[in-house]
Amino acid sequence: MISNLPILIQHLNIQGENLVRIHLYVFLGGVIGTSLRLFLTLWLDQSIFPTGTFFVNLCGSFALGFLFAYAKQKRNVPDEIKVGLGTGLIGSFTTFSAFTAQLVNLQLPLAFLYASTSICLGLLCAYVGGRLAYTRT
Amino acid sequence: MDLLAWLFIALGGGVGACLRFWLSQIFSKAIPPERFPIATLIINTIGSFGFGYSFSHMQNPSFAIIVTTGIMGGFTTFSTFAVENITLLEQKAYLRMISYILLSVGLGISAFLIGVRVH
Repeated sequence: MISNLPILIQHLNIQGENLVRIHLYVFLGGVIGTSLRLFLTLWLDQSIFPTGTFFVNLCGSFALGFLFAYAKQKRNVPDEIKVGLGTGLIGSFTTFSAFTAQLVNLQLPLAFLYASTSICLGLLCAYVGGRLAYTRT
Repeated sequence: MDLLAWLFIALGGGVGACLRFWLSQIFSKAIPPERFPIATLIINTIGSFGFGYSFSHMQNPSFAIIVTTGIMGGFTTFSTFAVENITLLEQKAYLRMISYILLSVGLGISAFLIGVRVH
């Protein structure tokens, strides 16, 4: 079912004023998403295990899985919402660069545990989010 | 952490998100992302390099966190990576999915280390 997801980063044919507006939505989403991530990681991250980043990436994967499946079902979701919320907010809320930085700085067994749980559970969250959107609509 | 630092990190995240959006638009025109999510792979690799570089080269810690947590954190994404993997999984493109995961982690770690060591 989720194979019918819309192209994640679809090519939008927008020009002029709309292009500026859509970038503004992405920018604002990025500001909010980064703030939320900063707040949660400052609160939760520990030196022994990056709990905050782990939690943020799982929540974001669930939210994006839900959003794209929902947007596919309801075709009238405007680009501003899809791009501002999906690419901007949720995209910036989650992070891959901090994930790789933490992997390098962790002890090897812990790094392996962190990578495998982040990826397996992240994919599971995205899948469950998508399935939930289908049952809701 | 003071409010001003928070504001600058958040604004950095906005800039990172716009850069990601802009790059993904260019790549999705060239290669359809449902075939192989090359845009996110490149974005996450560049971002890991940038994180490593600014992490080890920037003297000012406030400036370093604006670039790492702000710009690079907002630029790179884990959620899109997860959803793209599910898309590949649902297409039964297992080989492409495994390659995508291994390449993302492998290139990400390598890029981070190159960023740390490069002068």
